[in-house]
Amino acid sequence: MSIALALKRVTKRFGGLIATDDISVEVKKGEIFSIIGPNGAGKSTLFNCISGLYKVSQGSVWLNGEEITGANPHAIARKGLSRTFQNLELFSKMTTMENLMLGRHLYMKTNFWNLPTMLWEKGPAAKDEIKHREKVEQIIDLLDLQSVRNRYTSQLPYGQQKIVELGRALAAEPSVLLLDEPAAGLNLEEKDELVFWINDIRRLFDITILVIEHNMGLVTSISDRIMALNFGRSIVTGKPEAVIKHPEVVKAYLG
Amino acid sequence: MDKRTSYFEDITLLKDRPVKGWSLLGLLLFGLIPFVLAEYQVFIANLVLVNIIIILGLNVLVGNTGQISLGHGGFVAIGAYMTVILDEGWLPFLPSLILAGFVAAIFGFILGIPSLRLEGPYLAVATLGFGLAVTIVIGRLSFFGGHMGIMPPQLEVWGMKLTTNSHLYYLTLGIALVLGVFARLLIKSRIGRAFSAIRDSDIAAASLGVNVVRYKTMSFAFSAFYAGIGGGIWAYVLGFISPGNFTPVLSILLLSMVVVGGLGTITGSVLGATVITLLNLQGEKIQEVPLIGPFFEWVSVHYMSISGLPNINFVFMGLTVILIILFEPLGLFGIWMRIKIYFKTWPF
Amino acid sequence: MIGQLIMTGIVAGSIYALVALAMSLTYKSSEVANFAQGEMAMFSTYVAFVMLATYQLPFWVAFGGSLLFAFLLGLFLHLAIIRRAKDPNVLNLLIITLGFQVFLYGLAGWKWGSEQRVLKIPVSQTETVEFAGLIISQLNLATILVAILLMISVYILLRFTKLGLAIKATQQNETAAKINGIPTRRIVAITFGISSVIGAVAGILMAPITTLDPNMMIEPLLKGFAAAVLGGFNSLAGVVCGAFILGIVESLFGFYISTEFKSIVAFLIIVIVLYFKPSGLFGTHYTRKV
Repeated sequence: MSIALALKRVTKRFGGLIATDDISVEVKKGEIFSIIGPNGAGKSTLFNCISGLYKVSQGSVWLNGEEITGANPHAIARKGLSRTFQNLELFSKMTTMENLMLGRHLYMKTNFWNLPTMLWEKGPAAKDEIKHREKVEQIIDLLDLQSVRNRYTSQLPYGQQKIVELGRALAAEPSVLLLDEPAAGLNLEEKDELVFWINDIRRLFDITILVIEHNMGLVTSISDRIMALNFGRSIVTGKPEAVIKHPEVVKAYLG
Repeated sequence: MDKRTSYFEDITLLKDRPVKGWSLLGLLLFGLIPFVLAEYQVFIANLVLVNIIIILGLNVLVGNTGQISLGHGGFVAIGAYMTVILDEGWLPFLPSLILAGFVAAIFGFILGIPSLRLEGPYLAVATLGFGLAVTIVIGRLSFFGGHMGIMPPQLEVWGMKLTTNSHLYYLTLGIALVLGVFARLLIKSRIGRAFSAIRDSDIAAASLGVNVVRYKTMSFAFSAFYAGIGGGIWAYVLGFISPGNFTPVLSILLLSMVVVGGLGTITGSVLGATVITLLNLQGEKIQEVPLIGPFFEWVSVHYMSISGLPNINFVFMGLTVILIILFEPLGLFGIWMRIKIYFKTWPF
Repeated sequence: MIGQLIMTGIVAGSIYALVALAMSLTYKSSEVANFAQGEMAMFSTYVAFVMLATYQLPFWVAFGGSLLFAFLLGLFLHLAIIRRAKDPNVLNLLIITLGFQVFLYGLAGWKWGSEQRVLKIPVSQTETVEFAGLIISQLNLATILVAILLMISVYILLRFTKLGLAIKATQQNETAAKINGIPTRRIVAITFGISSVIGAVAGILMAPITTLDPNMMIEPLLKGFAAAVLGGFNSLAGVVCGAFILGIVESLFGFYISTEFKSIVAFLIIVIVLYFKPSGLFGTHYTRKV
């Protein structure tokens, strides 16, 4: 099986602080791969290094066999990576629909010069808009967002905002999807739905998913493999059952 | 609500019959203005249209992209001077105007570059400095007529001499319409969404493939283009321009039009530009207003000074801006929406 | 010659430094870049003028009265306007202060017209002092001394008093300060008052040089603001350094290169500096964490 995402000896330093230390991992295509670890273990830093928000201090990042180390976030997005954020980064003064349409930004072709062709239905710009609108409607149907389609996202309940963010990341049709604590702040029912959706997404889209999560039940039920981090270092990588029984993981979590 | 058959109906300009009807009626009213009003009032209508054009662009930068510009007077100046100079010796009016718009856009692009890394007050100062620099440079170079200013040549479009304010009005109205439709399309398109996304979260926008650098500079260039076009027409409306027309006060006035009208909406731009322009013109001649005029004159004589009375204009302007932000952050657009909702749900 | 030019620059820099200090104090405590700072100073200077010219009060009474007025004006701006903003984001707050600036400008123009007046102060502008081979007028010397005195006072206030500690706590983390029993709103209002007083001192020092009229503070405000940005808005020492750098560079540029373009050079430097150091020369840059 081919490798979707590879980290080779990734180290990120902030001044004297080493946030992630020499982490290497290979995530296979179609896998659901989780990263666990206590607060401050470097999980989100790792995601930021992958998506280009941070420049890695040492090491390299590879996406679908292509090196993306040091590339800009938008260039990495173009190569098929998409993500959600730990503390929600929704476009709050835009509607759900507009948020999802922004997920299609990469694929849309409208520019300054053909903008006036949006005036008639057969114009290239209008056709472009309609085509991608159809894609977005599919995601709205998949995630049951019909009722909030035209609501501003800042007015939605927290759980629904998380779903919109997931939908927005999906709209970009990524080959690799990073989910940063998708279940944080959700109630039990929403968590069950989330597991269901993640499985659905994997089945429907040809996609590799990386998840940062604290909820052990959720992690073990969806993951193919898990990596445990502590103090920026990788403790162990492997099957869920093996990882959660690993003595160092137990120690890191229980003190 | 009637049933939609295609997603196109969501993006089309004139959504349904009432909207079409109102738009037609509005256009008709605007078209009739030169027949109804006196020559001087048409002149004022021209000033309003010019400001609408400028604000349409500035609002995209401030309202949609979330950037601050205190230097838009500079772009207006560039547009005005370029148009006049090109029209004088090189090109016919319309090509001059468009070229001047593009020159302003290039300056907008250049100003956009430092803006990539600046926020809030830092950006305010950088843009303010730009506006000042433009005025000073123009004022010192004799090529631009120096402090004395320059007069635009006789306005001629497609061989027709436009001599009266009414002629100019129709030309300006046409340009404003085209630019208004374009701005509206932009806001509703992929580009406008990218602008708004940068305003709300540049990090998320970048991680979804928006080239933040390119779109921020594009937004600056776009708004500068509108300011340049507005400036070009302004020169002909006034019939004379000098550096004194383009002080930081103009930039502040423009920014307050955006805020008073309502951030990020076309309706807001039109309302803000109209109301502030009229208020500003009337404020300078407050004595002529019935009832209020004599009252303020009395106040001036007894407590203030009569020679300083025209300054009351600034008092009103400042108060309007403060009150709008304190009580209606959505601006006149917010008030407009409330009135609309009130009538839609009437009599409940 | 060069020494004399630097001296001129330091005099101008002192005024810029006072304005910049005032602006960065309020900015630090409330993230409001107060564009009305200049007009507030102008208005307070007019108050001093009225007390001197109309009511024939002694200078020190007028001076004190003007500073008291400035303090109250600062409190008013914060308590009655800024704090009541419905949606207090950076843009709205900035525009509110612009609105207040325009309002005060209009009010002063209405009351006193645009004719230029003379503010009499007990320091001479024509009599000079010789100091280390440099000639400096009494007024300019006083300007420098008063500016330095005020800077030291602000430093002592922030460093050694309980109020200063509360101001710093509010600046760094308003919520935490509030939880620990600091009346943060009152503290922010007081910083507005203090800033306004500093601005008023600058205004009174400026008035004899430029004559008193409603436009007097527009340029010093822009320069002071620019100096603050140059030095880095969130570092008070940086702001003061920025002001002196700006004053000196301007003075040298004006003499050796061109007086006509003297005022643009300030902004040119700033744009260039900001391009390489987005938070100014001495400021610290924070990146948002996701």
